[in-house]
Amino acid sequence: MNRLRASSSFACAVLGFLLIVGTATAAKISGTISATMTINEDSQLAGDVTCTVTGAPCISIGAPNVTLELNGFTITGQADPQGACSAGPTTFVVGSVEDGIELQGQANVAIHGPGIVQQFRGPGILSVNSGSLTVTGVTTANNCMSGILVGGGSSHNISDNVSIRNGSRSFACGGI
Amino acid sequence: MEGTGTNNNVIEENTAFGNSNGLYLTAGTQGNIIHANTFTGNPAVQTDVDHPSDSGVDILNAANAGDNAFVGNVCMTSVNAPCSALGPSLTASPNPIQIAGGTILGQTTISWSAPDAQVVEVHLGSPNGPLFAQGGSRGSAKTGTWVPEGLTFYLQDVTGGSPLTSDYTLATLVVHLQPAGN
Repeated sequence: MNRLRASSSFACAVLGFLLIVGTATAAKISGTISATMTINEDSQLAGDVTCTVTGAPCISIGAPNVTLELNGFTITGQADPQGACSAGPTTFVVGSVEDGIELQGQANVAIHGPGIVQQFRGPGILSVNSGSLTVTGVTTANNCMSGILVGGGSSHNISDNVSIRNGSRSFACGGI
Repeated sequence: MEGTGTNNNVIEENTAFGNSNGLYLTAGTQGNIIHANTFTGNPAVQTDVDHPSDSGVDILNAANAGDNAFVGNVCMTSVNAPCSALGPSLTASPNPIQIAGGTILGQTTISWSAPDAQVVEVHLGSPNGPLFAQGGSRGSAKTGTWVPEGLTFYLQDVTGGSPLTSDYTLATLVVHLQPAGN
């Protein structure tokens, strides 16, 4: 099982029309994200993040060997924590679902807590056909699909995470 | 974890509660090690529109039995996976039952948990004694005022029509009476 270490670089690539309020660089993420932020190198949260991205991931990891440190901060989506997932998506389409952190086909990615990923109308964390993903120490809560959803791939290490009140009547996926 | 090709992963020491399901492995997942996790209260005890009480379990394994390893997980309900860290239990509240002077019978509530069983029965006096209650892997039932001193309750696993013999006794419980003031 791979255990990943952050490398020295904190540069970040940004794709699409990205608006970040309250942060100077993508490597240190905080404030509001209104279009999908794609990170290609090691990054970390420098404050709480509010996502207003509709119909797409909030943070997408677009390269292998990337470590995202949550540093004890919270990433919050647009779902109503008091049970309004019925207003969320009715279909699950990778790439157009509102999840907190997404990666597709990437190897050796690590997402480290402590930190919270909450209130997304999709999964909190979504991995599709990736390999050797590590998710550790992360709390996922009140997401309308799974807290952590892993589809495909091998040698993942999902450990020491807490999942609370994820899933919904339409998507009774589960905490993990 | 979803789908064919989601193989050879480690899910370890996670905690999940109040979710639609605690852990959900879809069909086709193989070779995953599910170890030392705590999955309880799934679906949520405190329900809402997104978390109804009538669906979901702590571990929902839709993959073939034996394709993934479940070791030492704490859970109360599961499909196709053991909750090995929690054994069956049968309890009464109150026990002992406080009774007034001159009374020889009491009333209590019997609760059971049998994580690895799907259908259970509670019998009186012996494994095939009078039927007191029937239900799923978790439940409770209140007696009438007919419980004598020393009555033994038997929790029987009757999943798949298992016979009412001691081989399928999951737990026993002796209920005592106690005169008030003692």
